[in-house]
Amino acid sequence: MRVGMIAEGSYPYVSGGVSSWIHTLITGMEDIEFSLFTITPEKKKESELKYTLTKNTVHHQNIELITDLPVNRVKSNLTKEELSLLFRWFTFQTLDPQALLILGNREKMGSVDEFFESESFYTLVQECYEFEELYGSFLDYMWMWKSMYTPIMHLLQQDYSKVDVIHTASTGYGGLIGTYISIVQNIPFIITEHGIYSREREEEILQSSWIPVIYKKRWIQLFHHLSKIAYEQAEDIITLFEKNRGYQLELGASPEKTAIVPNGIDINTALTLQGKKPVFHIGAIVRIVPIKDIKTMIYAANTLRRWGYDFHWSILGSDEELPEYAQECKDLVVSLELEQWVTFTGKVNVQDYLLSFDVCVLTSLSEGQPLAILEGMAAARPWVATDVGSCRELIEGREEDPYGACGFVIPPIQPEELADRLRWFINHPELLGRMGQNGLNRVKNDYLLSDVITFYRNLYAERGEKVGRHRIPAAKII
Amino acid sequence: MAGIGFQLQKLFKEDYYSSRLKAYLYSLFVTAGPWLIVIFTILMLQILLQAVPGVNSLNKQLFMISVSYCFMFSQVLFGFQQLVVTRYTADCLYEKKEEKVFSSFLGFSAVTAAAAFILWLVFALLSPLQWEYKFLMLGLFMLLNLIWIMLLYLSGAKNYQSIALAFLAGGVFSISCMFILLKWNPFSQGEWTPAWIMMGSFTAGIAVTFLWLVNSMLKTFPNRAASLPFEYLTYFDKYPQLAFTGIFYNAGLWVSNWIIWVSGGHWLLGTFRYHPGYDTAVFYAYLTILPSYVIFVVSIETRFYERYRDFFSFINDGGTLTQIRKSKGKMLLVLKQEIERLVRNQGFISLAILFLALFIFPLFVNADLILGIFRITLIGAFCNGMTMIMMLLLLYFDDRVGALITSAAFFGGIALFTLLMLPAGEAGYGVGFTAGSLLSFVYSSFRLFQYVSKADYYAFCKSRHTRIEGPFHNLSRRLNRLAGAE
Repeated sequence: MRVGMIAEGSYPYVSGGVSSWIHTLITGMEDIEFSLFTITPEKKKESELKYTLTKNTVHHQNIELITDLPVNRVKSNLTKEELSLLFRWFTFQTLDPQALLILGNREKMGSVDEFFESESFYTLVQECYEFEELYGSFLDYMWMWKSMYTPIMHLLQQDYSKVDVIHTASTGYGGLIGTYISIVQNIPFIITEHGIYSREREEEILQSSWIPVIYKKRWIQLFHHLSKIAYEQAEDIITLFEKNRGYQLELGASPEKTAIVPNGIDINTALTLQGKKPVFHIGAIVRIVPIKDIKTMIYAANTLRRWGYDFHWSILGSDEELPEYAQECKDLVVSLELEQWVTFTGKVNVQDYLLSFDVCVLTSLSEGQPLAILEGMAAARPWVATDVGSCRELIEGREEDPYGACGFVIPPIQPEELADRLRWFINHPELLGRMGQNGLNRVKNDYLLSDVITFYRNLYAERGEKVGRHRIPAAKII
Repeated sequence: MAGIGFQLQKLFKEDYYSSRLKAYLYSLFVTAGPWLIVIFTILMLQILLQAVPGVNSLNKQLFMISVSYCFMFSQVLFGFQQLVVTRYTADCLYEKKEEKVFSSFLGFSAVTAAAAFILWLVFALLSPLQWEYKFLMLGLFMLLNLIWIMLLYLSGAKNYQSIALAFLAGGVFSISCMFILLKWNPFSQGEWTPAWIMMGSFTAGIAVTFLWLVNSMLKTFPNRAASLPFEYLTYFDKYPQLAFTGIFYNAGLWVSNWIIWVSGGHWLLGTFRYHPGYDTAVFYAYLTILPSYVIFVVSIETRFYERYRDFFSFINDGGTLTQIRKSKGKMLLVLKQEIERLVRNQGFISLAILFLALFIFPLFVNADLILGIFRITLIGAFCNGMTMIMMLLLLYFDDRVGALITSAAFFGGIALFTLLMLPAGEAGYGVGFTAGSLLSFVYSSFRLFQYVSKADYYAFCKSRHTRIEGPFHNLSRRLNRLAGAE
């Protein structure tokens, strides 16, 4: 059994988040072989690897979005029917996977450059411009077109090694080649989305300055289109929590394909107690980056001190990613004269600290399903977290959850509110243990890593058997 | 070339007769420029020579032929680099790197001078002429080469007035010099041959033109940094088609003469091959297409250029598809109209002269051979001029391949048909020239309209890959290092 895993811009070149999820999954299934397809913006060097590839990763293929021109040039040669299908595909009128097969066929399309120099391309782009009734600069439209479809054609024109099941960790370009591999190799396709790709791109595009305003909508449509194609082809559309599943349904995923498989965590029975403070100890497990909103924590600490509480606040995590921001935070601590109350530990082993915390805090502006919260819950710590991603689900439990809350959810960027919730914990020390236990119970039942791994192993096996390589292709039966 | 129309339009907008005349004169100097000026000077000289006693025909012939050779080969030499350098300087200006233009002038001049010297050396070693005379020829040859180069830069900088004045001054100087020296020969008898005196005077006149142009070059380019003078050579790697287009066209102008000289020509003093009848006939035939140059500059470069500019500004500066299509339609229409007008006007003039040549000249001129060749080459010259104009227009649209095929068809067609017609003897002279010119004219017209009707496609989609390494890149680096500029 060989599973193809597609990582777009993440594993094994980035640490944390989706990367660590993929790594954990692959590590947890030694008996299954993995082919890893990584999409990166440009060429990557061996030295940029953040993870050592596991033994069962038998094959690793890097696909760059931008590469040097291929030497052998192939002329484009498309029939009228093919062109009209492409027209409908380019204008988002059809999800017909046949279009992908044409786009990926070098003999028909020609190399990417040849296609963009061909008259069929020029005719197509004019038809689309008229169809879309955009009436902006045609030159800009042309550029938009080229920058939209260069990576797509380039990705589709690669040769992908044979696998039995293809699994992507995102839609977008990852979903695109997943769809393509699934069609070409006639194998089942699984999507697991942590964040909702097309929504994330949408935000990025709206904020970007290099896309002319009138063409932003079209860029957004493109990524929705790619998501829809992937949802259409996929056998399973999995996400981590309910809110994201809602988005997927909105974007066109059919409900019977969707499933929620949250992140999982091991219950570590060998936690050690270090750095215990004689006072109330607040812990934050975060990288020091703006999206984690460290400053709100610092302001909350300031408020708590003003109210006269005695406490210590440890912020665990690497500050190397954005040194300027880390410096700003440290300067803020100094200017508020909070040095005795707040410490930055840098990157440390979280497991050593967890048991010393009375309560854990997360102030993120955006999250998927944070492993940090699961780690804290697995150590029976109560939480105060912002209401982003699936934090509420983790802390309060899903509908009909029998275990009870393990902390509080507050809106983002509300230092006063955060301080207020922490004050409550300081004032009710007797409830800390009970709430911590609620979290632990929930983890034990709903968020065990072994369950996640078992789920995917079974899914691979089931899909692989039912529709995998050795089945008779539909074409032959007909 | 595209800049000339602009300047002219300003002149036409002032509605006096004098400025209109000025515009026509400028057009003549700029387009037909070097070529016509020298031909005109020679024509004047020939008329003058009849008024001067004591110069035998051998001397006259020697003088005329050596001037023609200098002229002819300097044009061919220049033609090899002309389009490439034009492209290079245009790109420099587009990229706002004006300072590189003058450096390329220095490099271009150096390379040309070196090539000219080698060419002359071969000639000088083979020829039995006196060395004094051969050195004079070297002087003239060099000066002409450098003058063509300066013309390219000065007309690029729209400095037409100085060009016209320079040639006028040079022409007046050489003619008066020659007239005075021959009429009241101050030298002791037999010290200098009349051919030498004529050549000396002519070269002195050309030197006046040269110095005048140098002066205006220095005025036109006040910032004269000499960084990387040989960088322009890299464009031979990037746009080899331009080099071949230039060489084919310039050689095509002469190739029928060369073939006829070899097969049916005569030797002059064991040095020059020539064919008096054919050469004279073709010379006069070329004179008949002078109006084309003026009409071209005035009509196409003004009215057409405006539409051309609109079209490309819609493409480059964010026009909608409708705007692009409309402006393309207008441009095509004007192009068609202007070419029709050009063909009609020049055709009328050529036909009128042909009519005269058929029926009226024979009553006065008693040279059947020349008249016979003239009648047929007149048509050839017409096609020839049209070919040049089509080629220029193709280059306007950056259809380098089309221009190359046109010039190759021009050269190859004329050479091939001339060779094929050789067995027919003198009766077939001129037929090859005309057939070849017609071939390239027909091809280039088809190509032009086909290309322009897809001009937007080519502008948006044509490959812009050029070579960034190659033998000329190496040569350029080496020469720059040699010049101490790197």
